[in-house]
This record gives sequence, C-alpha cells and structure tokens, in this order.
Amino acid sequence: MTTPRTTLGRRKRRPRGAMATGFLLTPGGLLLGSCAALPLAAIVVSGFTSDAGSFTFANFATIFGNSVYMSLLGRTLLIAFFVTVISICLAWPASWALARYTRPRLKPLILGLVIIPYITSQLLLIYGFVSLIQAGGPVMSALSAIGLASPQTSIMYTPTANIMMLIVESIPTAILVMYSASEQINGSVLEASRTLGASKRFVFTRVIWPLSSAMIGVNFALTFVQTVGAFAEPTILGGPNGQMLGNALATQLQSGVNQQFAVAMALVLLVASLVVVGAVTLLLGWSRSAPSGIRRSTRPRAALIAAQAQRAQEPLGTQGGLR
Amino acid sequence: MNHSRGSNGQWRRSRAALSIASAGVVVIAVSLGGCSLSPTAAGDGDTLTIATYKGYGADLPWVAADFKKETGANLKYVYIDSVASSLQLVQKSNGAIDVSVPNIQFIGKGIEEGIFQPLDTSKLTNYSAIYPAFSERPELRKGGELYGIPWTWGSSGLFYDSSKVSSGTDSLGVLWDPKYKGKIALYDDPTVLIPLTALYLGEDPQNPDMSKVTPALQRLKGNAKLLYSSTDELAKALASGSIVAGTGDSANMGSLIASKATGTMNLKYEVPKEGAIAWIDNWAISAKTKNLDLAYKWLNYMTSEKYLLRWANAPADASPAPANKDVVDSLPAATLTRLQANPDKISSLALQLPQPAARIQSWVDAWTQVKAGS
Repeated sequence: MTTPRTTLGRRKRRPRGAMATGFLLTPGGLLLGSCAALPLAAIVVSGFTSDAGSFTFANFATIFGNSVYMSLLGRTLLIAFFVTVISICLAWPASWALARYTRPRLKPLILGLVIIPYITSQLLLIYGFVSLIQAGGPVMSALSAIGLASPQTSIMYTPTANIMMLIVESIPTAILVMYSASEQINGSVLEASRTLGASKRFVFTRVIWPLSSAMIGVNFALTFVQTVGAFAEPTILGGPNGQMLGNALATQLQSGVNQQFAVAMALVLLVASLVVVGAVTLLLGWSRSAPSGIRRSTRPRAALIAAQAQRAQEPLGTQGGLR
Repeated sequence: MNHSRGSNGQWRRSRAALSIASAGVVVIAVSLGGCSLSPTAAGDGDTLTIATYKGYGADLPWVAADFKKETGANLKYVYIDSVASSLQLVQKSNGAIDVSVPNIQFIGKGIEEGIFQPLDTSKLTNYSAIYPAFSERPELRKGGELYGIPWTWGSSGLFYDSSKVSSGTDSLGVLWDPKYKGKIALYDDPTVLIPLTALYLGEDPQNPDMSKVTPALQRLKGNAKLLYSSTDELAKALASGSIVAGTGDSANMGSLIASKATGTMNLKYEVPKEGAIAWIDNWAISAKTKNLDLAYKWLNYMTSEKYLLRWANAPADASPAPANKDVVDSLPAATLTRLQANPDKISSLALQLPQPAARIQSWVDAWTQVKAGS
C-alpha cells in the first residue's frame, strides 16, 4: 500500500516542480534575456562592425594601437581600483563598529542614514559636493580661516576632486556590504580565538579576514564596476586633466560619427573590468586558503608559545587587567 | 546638432547620447507604431505632425491654441533627441510627420536622401524678411531650389568678465593668453573647439590642418580650468569666481547674463574679430506629407513676427536669435542682448557644416588625445 503512494507522490511532485521552476524563472529570465543579453549581443556585434557595415577588427586595433586610449584605459582602471580599495578601507571599521558595538536600537537609524545618499540622485550628490568644495564655499572658507589655504583656490576641477567624489559615492555600498560581512562573523569564534591566546593581528589575519574576504570580493565587484564607467563625476569635477575613459566614450558618441568605435571602447572597458574583478576575486580566494594551508601546523603553536611567554612575563599586568 | 540650448537640454542630450540603445528604441518604436502616426482618413487640414526637440519654441503651451485659432488645425508633436535621429524618424514615418526642424549641418543629408521637398518661396510669406546671408546658403538648396526656411540661429564665440579681462577682448587670443592660465572655461565639444582654434590660427575652420591645430589645442587646454557640457556647470564656476573667460553658446551666454546671477554681472559675449562658430535651424516639409497647405501655414506661422516676438520676449522660454530681420529690428535693446541677436557679424560666422565622418573622427581623436595628456 505504501509503495504506490510514494511513487504516486513522486510522479506528482516532479512535473509540478519542473513546471513551478519554469514558471518562476520565466518572467525574470525573459526580462534578462531581452533587456540584458540581447543588447549585449548587439553591442558585441556592433563593436566588430565597420562604418560600411562589414566585419572588422579595426575598432579594436585602433584602441590597442593608440597610446592615448590605452593610457586612458589604464588611468581609468587605476582610479577605479584605488577608489574601491579606499572606500572599503574607510567603510570596514565603521561597519565593524556598527555591527558589533552599536546598540541594536540605533542600528536601523544609522543604516537608514547610510542609505540616504544611496537612494539620492547621483547628480544631486555631485552638485552637493561641488557647493561644498568650490572656491569660496564652506570648506575653502574654513581652511582659509585657519590660514591653510586661500578661499579662492579649490580642489574643484582637479582629478583629486573627481576621486574624492567617487569615494564618497562608493562608501554607502561598502558600508552596507561590509556590515553584513561583519555581522555574519559569530562573536563566539572571536571569543574562542582570544581565549586561546591569539594576538589581535592573528585574529584579524586568520579569523576575520578569511570569514570576510568573500564579501570583500562582492564589495569590490560592485564598487569597481560602478566606478570604472564613471562619466558625470569626471565631467563635472575632474577639470581638464581629470578625464576618464567614460568621457572619451561620451565625446565619441556625441560627435555623431563612427559610433561602433565608442561601442568597441565600451567592450574593452567591460572585458578589462571583468579581468580585474576576476583577478581580485582569485587573489582573495587564495588569501583565504593559502596562508592557512602552509602555516596550519606551525603558526598556532608559535602563537601559543608567544602568548604563554607573555603571560609568564606579565602576571601583574594580567591580574591588573582582570581586576 | 552640436549647438546647445539651455542647461537642461544640454545635460539631457549628453546623457541621451550615451545610450545609443535609447535612440534605437525610439526608431523601433516609431517603425512599430507607424500605424498610430498615420494620418487620419479624414485627410487634409486636421492635424499637423511636427518633429522637434521638447521645450524648443514650437511646443510652447500657447502655440497649439494660437495656431488652431489661425488655421483651425490641431498640432501633434513627435519629440527628437538629435537631428540625425529626426531624419530617420521623418523617413520612416512615410509622410506621417509633416514638418521638422533640421539644422544646417544635417539638412543636406535629408535633401540628398529625398526626405524633404522643395519649397515654393512665393508661398512663404516671411521669406523676404529672412536674412539673405542665411536663406541664400547653398546648404539649404539643391538645383537652385530652397528646402528649408531659416528659423533661428546662434553662435559659439568668446565670453569674458569685463572687470577681469580688459584688453584684447575682441580676439580669441584671450583664451590662449598665459595671463589667464587656469581661468578659462571651454565648451567640451571638439566640433566647436577645433573650428574655433582654426579661426584663431587663420586656418580654414571647415578643414583645418590638424598638425597646426593640435598643438594650439594643447596650449588651449593648458590654459583651461573647466571643460563644461552644461550651462549650469559654467554658472557654478562663474559664481565661485574661478573663471574669467571662455567659449560659449550665444543664447546660453545671453540667458546667463540676463539672469544677473553671482559672477555674471560683468559678463560679456562677443563674436571675436577672427569669427565664431554658428548654427542655423530651419523648418522643412517632408517629401511625403499629406498636409502640404497646412505645412506651409506652419512654416509661415513659425517665421512670423507675431510668434517670434512673443517667444523672444519671454526670457524663461530661452529663445535663440531669430533669423527674421524684421523681428530682430523690432526687439528692445535688452532683448537683443539677451538673445545675442545682433546681426552685425553674421558674415564673419563659420557655420557648422556637414563634414565627412573621417574628418569628424580625426577631430574627436585629436581632442581626446589633448584631454588625456595631462
């Protein structure tokens, strides 16, 4: 009696499962297929098309053969890389404090404040920043009041202003991602490592880092990809010397000729960004596994011995700490 | 195409240009929705369909009612984001779009492709009032026949703060003057900056020797503080006092000066002695229109004193300079300054004309190269 029931149950469940999965996948899949995959395919095709409509590598040959475009690409990737790294470095301690040392009641309020710039129009953020740093603005006036700068000078219209703006824009993402990374780490793991005598540095490199690096990878991908295509920030803030590849792309498109060349530039930027993101993700993965693999046998003992020695040397200090 | 109208328009256009996709979508949408654009069976005289920029004079809130009062016809607008896309739109509409407003740079392409029809100047009631320097341009003509009636025009020349720049203000040389290093603002568009540099060097602005232009362009960028793409960015830089001179579009500079905003009190716009870059927008009738009489009425209405004066006298509506001489003659001096409509230097203007794609590309390359080298 029981056997037929289970087969019946299985038979019933399987097609329904496939149907249901298909049903759930269809709307999103169709949207992604038609609005992301198809345009991407069109862009790839267009990048390999000449003005006359035939297949060509000429667009890419021009980009790779021209030191101007290559140095712009290099500069753009470098800016995006440093902006991402700096924003993570700035956001991580804040997220850590938010996740571990902030009263639960305050958390939603602070997270809400962090989200505000995230949901504010990008242009509004840029213009807010402009009015803050422009010559004669509050920052320059304050600096001149304490005799550090003339109120009529400003970092406005320099690459520095552009980079600062990009960092400002990246920080909300970084705080949100690193907050969830910090919260994921179980407090008892940290407690355990400390009780076993691990130094602060050791706890960071061997416990916190491996547990956070996956999220750092996610954060890197999100911020880097968003920054590498920046176009409004260098236009408004970067001045004559702060241009990025996005601006060259915009100039090409606005000229109304040879749009395939702009498409090819976008493709090169896309692939280069993917390579950087892929390399960083691999590196993070390696940093997770490699050090622990090599030092597993030696490091804890050394640390243990060191910790024991420290304890033996400073009994009074420890006691004082306990009191 | 390359001239600018209003900070919003400029910003919107530069963003729109970034996504070719959006232009493509418009074209596809129009070709798919062709039926909705088709003229009604009722035929003549009912509705005139106009392809134009949003917020560019022809769609002012009072225009439809005023035109209906005069002709009894309704208006329907199809909005464009560039002249290039409007040519495609008019062609694909197959007569459903009756009139459009190509500029002098693109109208030739439309004439060659048979998109527009020759105009009967005896039916154009304001034809004789249009500046002959404009209406006789060969770019508007083929086989001696006129294909577009000039409507508005503007120039890209020199602006300066007269309290900070006192000598040599009649020359583009101000922009290259080492005295003003780090205080110059440039409109970020190679199709304006390269012809301007050519004018400064005494080269042919339509086809300059790039081996001479590029080094001069490099020095120009070395002098620059700001490369702007919207009037708003320029207004901010002027307000902070970091700019003393630069290149700008006449209509935008006129509006800025009229705004009396901080930093614009002593601002002057000038067509320098070397000349300036200019554009002309023209009304043209589609070759396949089914509302020919109504289309002529529209062209006559758009170029009429009644309409152009009303537009010119409303500062918020940002009218460029009218191509109708009678209108300009009857403008008050302040409005004349705001529109920069002074016709004295019309003959020294270098028009933005159709250029081969390879030449535009060489300009874009040169400007990108100059910008990337810091």
